[in-house]
Amino acid sequence: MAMAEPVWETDLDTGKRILVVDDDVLMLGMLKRILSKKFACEVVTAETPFDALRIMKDDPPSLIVADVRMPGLDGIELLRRVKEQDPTVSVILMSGFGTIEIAVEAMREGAYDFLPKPFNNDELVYTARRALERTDLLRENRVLHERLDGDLSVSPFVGRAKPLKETLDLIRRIADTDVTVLIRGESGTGKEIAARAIHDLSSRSSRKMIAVNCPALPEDILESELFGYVKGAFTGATSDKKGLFLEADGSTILLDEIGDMPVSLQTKLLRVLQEKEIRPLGSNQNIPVDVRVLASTNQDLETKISQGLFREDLFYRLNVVTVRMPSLAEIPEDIEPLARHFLRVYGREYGRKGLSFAPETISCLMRRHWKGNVRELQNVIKRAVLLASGHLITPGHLFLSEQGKGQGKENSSVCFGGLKYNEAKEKVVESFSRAYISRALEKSLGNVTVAAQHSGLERQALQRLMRRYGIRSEDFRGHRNEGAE
Amino acid sequence: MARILVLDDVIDAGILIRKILQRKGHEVAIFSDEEEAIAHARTNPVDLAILDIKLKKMTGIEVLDELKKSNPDMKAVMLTGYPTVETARQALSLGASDYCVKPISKDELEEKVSEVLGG
Repeated sequence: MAMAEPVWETDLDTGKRILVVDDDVLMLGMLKRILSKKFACEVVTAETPFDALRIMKDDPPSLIVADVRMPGLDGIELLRRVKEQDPTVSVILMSGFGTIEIAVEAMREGAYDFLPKPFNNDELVYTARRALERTDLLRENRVLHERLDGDLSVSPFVGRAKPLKETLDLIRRIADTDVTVLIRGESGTGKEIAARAIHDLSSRSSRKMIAVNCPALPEDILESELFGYVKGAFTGATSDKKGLFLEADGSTILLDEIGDMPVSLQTKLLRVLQEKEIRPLGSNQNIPVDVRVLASTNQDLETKISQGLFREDLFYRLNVVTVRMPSLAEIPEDIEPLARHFLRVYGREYGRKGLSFAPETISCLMRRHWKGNVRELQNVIKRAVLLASGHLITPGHLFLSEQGKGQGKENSSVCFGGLKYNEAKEKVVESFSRAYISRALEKSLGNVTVAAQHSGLERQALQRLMRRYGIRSEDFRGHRNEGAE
Repeated sequence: MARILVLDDVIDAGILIRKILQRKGHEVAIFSDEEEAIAHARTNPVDLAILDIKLKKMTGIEVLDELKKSNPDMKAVMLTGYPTVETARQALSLGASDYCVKPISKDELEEKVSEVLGG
């Protein structure tokens, strides 16, 4: 049930999805059958509006077909919340109680259409087709607008936090110039991606950017790699070799981890930057090159300078403009969008779509101190996508080591900003209940009766709570076994 | 003050609505013939159309579609004694702001009109 058969590869790749929401399981199955037969896209289902909202939050589908009468949250309210989040999603509501008031309310709230039950399949398919077209048009339009606004121009970056935005602004401004740029930031913050963005936004983008990892190579090899050599320059130099600087002629070269470049080579690099010429090993001729130099480092170059390990004059040469990549600790508000982004990316890559985060997973991610920054977060999500057994990624799937965990207290994820007492209390109770129930179910491997016994609750009472918070016992079955394997 | 077009095949119904809305300071033109109403809207500005659905030659939905072509910013309220889910969804997807069932009280009419014009 989790995944549609990948029959229509191309459409599946475009990520077009239909979400069907109905508490009537028979109806759900029937709608899924009809829609997946008629449309070349993935059809996912949700039995409760809360599941639907979770799916919506992780990866908004193109179309939602939902029943109006559902326990907990009716279709109209679901429609409102969906529209709030992403107005391009088309929503078709259906109801067995086809009163005019409901139809009018649904349409006024922005439903694409309203189908009174019973309806025939052709009606559904017809209106669904037009609804999908509407979404396509709106999304296309949105992409074009974003492109016009220059929002997508530094596209590999996800997130909206201010420090990141400032960095991206700077990148945009300096990209199409020839200035040398020093990109600084902790490891895993995206320095190389920033370099690529600078290159891609410059007029040199038609040529390939050359990236050199400085510490990866021993000194003499690095030198011959960078500047090349002529035949007979040393034993084994049986023919001329073009260096990477010459290869990057008319393009950009990224000197990754420049802080680890040996001082002797720094001197030669300085000359290249000053003269815009290189001299291959063993040659006595300088060759002019037109190369834009980007350098990156996660080291404290100022300290290295004071220790005599980095040439001060090279530092000033490189440091015409500094682009500083913020660490994840500086942009905590971007953790959630980043996590969701990686969930989408790896969900597609590994054919595990329809996965979503349990709410406590997000708070767990937020609490952690990410020493390895975005790259570490990326790897954790990737692993979780591979290891998750149900639809839901629970904190257990993250396999976070104890270090870095629990930066704050248990409830620190609940933000009280501007909340009324009752609302705040509600939030705390909800977050506590979710955590408690999830943990109980995790322990009982999804067995509700056992979990209820351990919690000192009646089975029915626990089930009621699970329904309220949209927690499903299926999501907790078999995690243990898998972890042990 | 708004310019309101009322179309109802029963002319007395139109007269009643005009009386109510004129008192609120609106300029009201009433019609019982579909084509005359459409012709009026082509040459005169209309802020709001109040349309009956069961008419003589066309349906109110078709009239709405026509009126929207010449006055896309025009608001519309459907008023019908024979409500169906089908006409309700059609009217709203063509851009009607509301769909009311006859009989409608004076207060309700005033309220709907001011709500639609206000928004």
